[in-house]
Amino acid sequence: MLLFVAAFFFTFLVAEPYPSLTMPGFARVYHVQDSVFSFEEPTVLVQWNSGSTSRLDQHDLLSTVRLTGATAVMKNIFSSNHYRRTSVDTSSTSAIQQLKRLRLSAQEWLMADRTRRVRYSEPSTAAWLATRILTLYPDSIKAGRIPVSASVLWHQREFVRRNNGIHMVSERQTDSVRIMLTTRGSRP
Amino acid sequence: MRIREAYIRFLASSLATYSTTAESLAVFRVLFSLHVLLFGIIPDISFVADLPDSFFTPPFGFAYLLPGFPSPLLCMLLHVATVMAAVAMLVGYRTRLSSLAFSLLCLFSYAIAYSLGKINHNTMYLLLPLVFAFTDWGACYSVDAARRGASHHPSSETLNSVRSAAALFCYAFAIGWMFFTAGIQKAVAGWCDFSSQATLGWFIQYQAGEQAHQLLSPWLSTIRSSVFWELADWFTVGFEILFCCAAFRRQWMLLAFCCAILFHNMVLHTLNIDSSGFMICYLAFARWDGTMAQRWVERLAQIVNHRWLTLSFSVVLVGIVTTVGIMGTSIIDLVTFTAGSSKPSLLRSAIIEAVALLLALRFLIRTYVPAILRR
Repeated sequence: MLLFVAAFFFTFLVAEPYPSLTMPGFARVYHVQDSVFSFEEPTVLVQWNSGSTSRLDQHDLLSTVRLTGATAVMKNIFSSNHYRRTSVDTSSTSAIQQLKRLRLSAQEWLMADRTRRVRYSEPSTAAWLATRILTLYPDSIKAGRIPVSASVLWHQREFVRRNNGIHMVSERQTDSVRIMLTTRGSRP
Repeated sequence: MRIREAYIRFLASSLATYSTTAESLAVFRVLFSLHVLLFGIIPDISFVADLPDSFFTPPFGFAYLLPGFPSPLLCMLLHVATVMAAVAMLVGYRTRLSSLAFSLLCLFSYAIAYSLGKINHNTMYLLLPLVFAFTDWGACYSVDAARRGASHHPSSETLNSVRSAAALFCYAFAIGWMFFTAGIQKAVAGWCDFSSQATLGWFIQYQAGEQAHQLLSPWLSTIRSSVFWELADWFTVGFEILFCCAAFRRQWMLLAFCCAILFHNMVLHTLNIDSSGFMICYLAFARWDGTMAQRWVERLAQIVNHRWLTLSFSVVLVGIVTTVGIMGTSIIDLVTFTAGSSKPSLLRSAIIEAVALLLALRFLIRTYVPAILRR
């Protein structure tokens, strides 16, 4: 029983271990008076040597990744300040906010190398991304198009609930990362 | 001293409510193993071999000890070993060892898969064989029983009903605790605050962000009543927090499972999150003696008396499940022609969860209505 309690505190004060005896908290709440619901989503843009740009769906980009969620993986790899962003989640109540700040400090202290590692800028990430883009656009090489860079833009999108459905009312960019790509046999 | 005695007496009376028979547990072992093998629970993590090590962000636990993603060969070996453990669990060959191996191998595989930054909460399912390994679920309808010459009927010395009851209680408490951890986070976040609409907020987020428009989701989005959504918030927090206390009596636990089934149905139809796998975990607490399932298992278990037949059956099953797993699908998806599509599989989950809800209602009516009428 004591182990259960210790694991519970570790989960919420540091990081969630796996396996652990926890269920997802879905701790975020929305306030009625706001009547606006906001959350963040990524947009992946591929820049080609021809100067054109293609929009890539995150689910297509990560379609080979199974057993886990695309947005979470995108946040983990292709964002500049994932940990910091979650800590300043303005939709959370103050108690959760404080807990998140405490958690961030604990993570920075215990896992300094992990929290500060910029994964999207590593060469292996760029190589994987270039290969993946060429797989998703198989005719690009024949057409003489080579991906030069990819940008991942994070947007805070606000939705409002009206009589006939859910409508997006605003979009604000919160983060962006750019990855320079090198494909086999070519230089960007 | 009196408090200690009272505590021990209370715990003993709690354990007594979980007493069950080896036959009942063995029937459940067969059902659970079939669920594992048919529904593609065993993870094939070979996809991680194509990912760069910059993606490797292991959670604390097994995967934290690894330097990076494992090689394709190791992923394949892990998959085959897990399938073999599941088949051994089904036929009851070295049941305790195979149950422990199945759980640990599955947890290890999932730990690697979750090293991409997102953890899915499936521990309730994978923990079951780890705990039930210490019950009598391998004592009959198994190769182990046949090897002991006990046919399908366990001899008294191989049984330990107290240990079985204790394991069931521990598992019930673990489930209760898991729900408690979710409930307490919601309570702290302000789910029960009248100025907040948590269920509705998540519902809208999933509709807009995750495109959760399946099943009853479009119809539920037309519900404007804030009372309905506030009740959903209160119900979720209330049952999740109280689940932990329910573990101290089997009857309370069954009541909590009924609430959980209603909750899972709600989650499926609003957020389109599939929790149908948990239904089999709740069936661990059913009494299987004298049911049709027991008669089927008894008949099927005749196979374990024939060594070569059991071996051939196991080898073929391992081959089929491994191949289907590597194809990235499950036997049930192939049989129902739903491989690679999320819509029919969600419909299947909706049917499973609706049946569970009907069974829960039947249980509630049969248990509580006569008592209420008597009063």
